[in-house]
Amino acid sequence: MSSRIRIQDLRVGMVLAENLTNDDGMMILPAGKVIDQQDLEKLSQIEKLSFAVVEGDAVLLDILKEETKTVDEQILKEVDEAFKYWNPDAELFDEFRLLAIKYRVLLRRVSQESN
Amino acid sequence: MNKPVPSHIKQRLEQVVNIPTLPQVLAKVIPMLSDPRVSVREIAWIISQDQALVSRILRIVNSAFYGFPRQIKTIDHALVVLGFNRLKAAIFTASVLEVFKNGKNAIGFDVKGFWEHSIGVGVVAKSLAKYLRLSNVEEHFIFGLLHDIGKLVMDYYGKEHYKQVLSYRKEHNVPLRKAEVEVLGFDHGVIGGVIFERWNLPPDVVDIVCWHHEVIGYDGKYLQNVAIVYVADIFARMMGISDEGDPYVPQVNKNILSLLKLDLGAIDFVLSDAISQLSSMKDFLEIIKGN
Repeated sequence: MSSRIRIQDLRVGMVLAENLTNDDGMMILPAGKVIDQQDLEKLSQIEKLSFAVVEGDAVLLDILKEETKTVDEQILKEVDEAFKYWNPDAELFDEFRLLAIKYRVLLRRVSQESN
Repeated sequence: MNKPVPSHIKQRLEQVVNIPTLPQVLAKVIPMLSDPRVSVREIAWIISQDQALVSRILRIVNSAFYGFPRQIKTIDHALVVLGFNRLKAAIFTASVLEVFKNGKNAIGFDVKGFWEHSIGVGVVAKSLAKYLRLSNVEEHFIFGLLHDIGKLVMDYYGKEHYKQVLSYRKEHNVPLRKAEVEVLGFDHGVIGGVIFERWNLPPDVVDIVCWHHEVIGYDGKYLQNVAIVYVADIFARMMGISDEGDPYVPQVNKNILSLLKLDLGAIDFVLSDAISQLSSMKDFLEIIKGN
């Protein structure tokens, strides 16, 4: 099983499940490569690079859990209210809820910075 | 309209909303915007007869959304620097905003929140179009911006009935759309769609506005565009960009995500792109508030 994640979310130790290519299809790193610090530095210099497919079926979910570990109580309350009409057993419930928390935090940060 | 609204619903709609007519200049300009035989110069000549409209278009093209470094002073200049499609999108936006100027809000509908949500959906729809590598991504911003226009139509031209909808929503603590269906028998999508059709707006805009909550039953030819706005609405709500009193995120239909080939990584990517665009939209809200 594999997961497609944003390049920014690649971490040392993740294993590429597919060749890593740029948006024009040019190969940057081969499938099977274990990502190290040098790779991350190299990738940060390359333009038109959007996604990586890595081994593991819930990698993004784990990243989201990590990113949303410490969040303001008020945001959590708002998100619970916003998802009131979802069936909690529905597919994607956890993922969408975590994305909602992540981007509400980011949006607040962006708004504060621009004020 | 590619997928028609049943006639009994149209009849009921005409009982609850006093459908506005377009001002003369807009009635001429709007159909011209989707007519490939008409040049922007001809459109510019018509709109020059309405200086308020010209001024609003220039404020839009000079906004951070377009990000052009020097001030654009005339419609002709805008055509040169922005190109045909981007200018058309600005004219279209300004024209619709012009209809809703000078409104007085007396029934407690959150107009500011309405526009914040509409801009948010426009920005996410544009990010989705970029991700999907569609041409003319500005057009998708317009689709998102106008998707809920039926709510504003009711606030302006069907106040008495919408007051009942807002009371129902408050009393039963339900999403606005559910209250609309319970009280009126149809939702704001249908209202906006029927009115846009009456105004001879392009069929893709009409269908997107009309069916953005009913994408599963939609079998017309603009399915991808309807689906983009359906998803953009959900994503904007996830980020907390919703009008006051209606903070709910509808449960997403997985088939629509599959239709647009959106996996979780893609959704994360699109939301991240939209966040980076949203800060440049502040002055857009000021342009709208200039109503």
